[in-house]
Amino acid sequence: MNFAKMAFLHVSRKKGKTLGVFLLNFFAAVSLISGFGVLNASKMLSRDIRTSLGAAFCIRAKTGVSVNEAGETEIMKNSVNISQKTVNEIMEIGGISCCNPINYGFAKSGGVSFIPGDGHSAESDMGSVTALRFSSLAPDFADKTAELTAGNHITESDRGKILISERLADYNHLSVGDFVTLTHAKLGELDGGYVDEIPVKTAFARVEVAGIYRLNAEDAVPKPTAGLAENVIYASLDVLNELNESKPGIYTGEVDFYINDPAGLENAVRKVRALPSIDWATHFIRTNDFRYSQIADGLANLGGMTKILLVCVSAAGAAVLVLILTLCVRGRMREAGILLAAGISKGEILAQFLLEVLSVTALAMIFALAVSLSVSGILERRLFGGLPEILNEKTMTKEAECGGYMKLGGGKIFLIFLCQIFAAAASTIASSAAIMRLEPKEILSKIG
Amino acid sequence: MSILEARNVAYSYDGRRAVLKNVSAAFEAGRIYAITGPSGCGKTTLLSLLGGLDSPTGGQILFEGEDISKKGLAFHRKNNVAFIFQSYNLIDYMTPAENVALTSKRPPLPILERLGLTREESKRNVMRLSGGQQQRTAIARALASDAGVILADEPTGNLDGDTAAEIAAVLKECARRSNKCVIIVTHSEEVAGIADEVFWLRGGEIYGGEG
Repeated sequence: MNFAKMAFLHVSRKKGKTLGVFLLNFFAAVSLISGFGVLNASKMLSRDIRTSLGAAFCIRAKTGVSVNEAGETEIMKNSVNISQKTVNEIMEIGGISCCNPINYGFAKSGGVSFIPGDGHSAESDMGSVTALRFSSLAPDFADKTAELTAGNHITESDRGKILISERLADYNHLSVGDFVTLTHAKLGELDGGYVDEIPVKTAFARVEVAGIYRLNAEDAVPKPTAGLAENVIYASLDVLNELNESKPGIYTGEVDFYINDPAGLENAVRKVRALPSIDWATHFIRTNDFRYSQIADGLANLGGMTKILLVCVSAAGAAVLVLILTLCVRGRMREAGILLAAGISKGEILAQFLLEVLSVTALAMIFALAVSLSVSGILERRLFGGLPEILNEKTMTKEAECGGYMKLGGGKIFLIFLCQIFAAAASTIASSAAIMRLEPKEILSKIG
Repeated sequence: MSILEARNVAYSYDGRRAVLKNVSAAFEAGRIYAITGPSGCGKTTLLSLLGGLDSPTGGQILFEGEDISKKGLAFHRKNNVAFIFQSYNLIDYMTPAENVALTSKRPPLPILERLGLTREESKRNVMRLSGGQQQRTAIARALASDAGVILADEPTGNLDGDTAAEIAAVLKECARRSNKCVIIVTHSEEVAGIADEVFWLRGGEIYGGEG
């Protein structure tokens, strides 16, 4: 009789022992798959939370303070000078979801009267222009100081589009879809009054009102007309180019970069600082990961705790598995002695024991996989049911895929199974070796 | 020519306590031998050495004139000898037929029937058989193998008088009919009485003569 048939007879006839080994392996596999599922979930959840929070850094111009010959303090403000080529280099370092370059300027319009500010005159009847790629990412919209109430935000593909404040729209009876013509302007001061430093108008841009926003804060101090928040026009980047106040592909305001995972912010900034195409004597980087930094420790602790728990569960499971299998094999000493006395080789006896344990282990793991998948699905619905929608709402691009937190890949499940098979085989071999070292006579004398 | 021979065999535990001293005995095919003596005199140890369950600390065990250690004790156990134990030593999750098939490719049922087990009994779990039936199964397992020597250690020790006599008769019949050498270690005078030759062990030394 060959060892495979003997293994089959043992597994099928010793139902109690077989069931015990089956259940032991089954629960060990379910625990391991579920444990690694929770670890996976904690990692993915941390990632999704980080992604939903996001982080940003911006490149700005340095401002210098000096004292002139008259002893007066002078503020030396440099301009940002970042080219599209440099922006492309930065985007290529990876992990950056989008870039929002901003140019600043002023504009007047024959068809638009701006909300009068301090020292208002016909000459200073102008508004400031913030030209950008994504208006929704502008600081006022991001921190809810401003809120779009009609129309759409400006996006990368828009040309000749502007957003104006509700009050400015009402003041000029403008609504979404109306067209106005803007011309260039530059706010200056002369004899204590505000003037336009570009008296002769040569550049014009016909723009469409794409959206109207409401301001949730009011200017606290008197400001000139062009300085009032309600006179701020958000425009697509091409508008200031047409007004000759900026050049295509050159950004002079600031350039904001948004990254998916705040954990990668430091690395991204380090890479950007290494770029030689940016003059770091006149530029600096400002990072913004305030929201992430508030919960970073919590997320790290969650991951650490989960790992410790999993290690404890795995170690305890492995110890019980090894102990029980060892006891099972040690209980077969009599059988080993009989088989050895019958001339059956030690290798064949070990092969029989291994085949029995591994076949039952493999069967238990198949059942465990099916049960674990169902359990994981239920756990995930209970624990993380509403999270994907919430997190997706908060992500900037709304493209992040959330969910499937506890789902393990085939590779990971295969590795778990491999480890369990290895533990079962190793404990069987180790406990069998203790028997096989004995001479048949010693075994038979022990069993009487 | 003897099929199995112990030549100047010695055995001691830990090199101190001598169990067997210079034991020599020769066993021939078709004959039945009894080894008897007081408890602890080394009967079972001698049987273990003859069967290759252990190695002597001195001397040789020869099978058909060749030292069994040359081909290995496992080879000797598998091909040359078969054991019958006092406690039967059957595999408890198998039927008599499966126990017999452990060491033999021959159909097990005819031999089991010859030893008095019905077909139904031969397909029942061995633990549900009587002591006599279990010992018959153990004998059937030994007979079914191609081994030329059957080594029986107190084969009737756990059986009542009638069953013991039946088993002894079966063993004697096997030796005659199958031309096998049967060596029985026993305390029983009745069993020793059926032997062609009886050896006495005392103080680690063997005294032999015709039965």
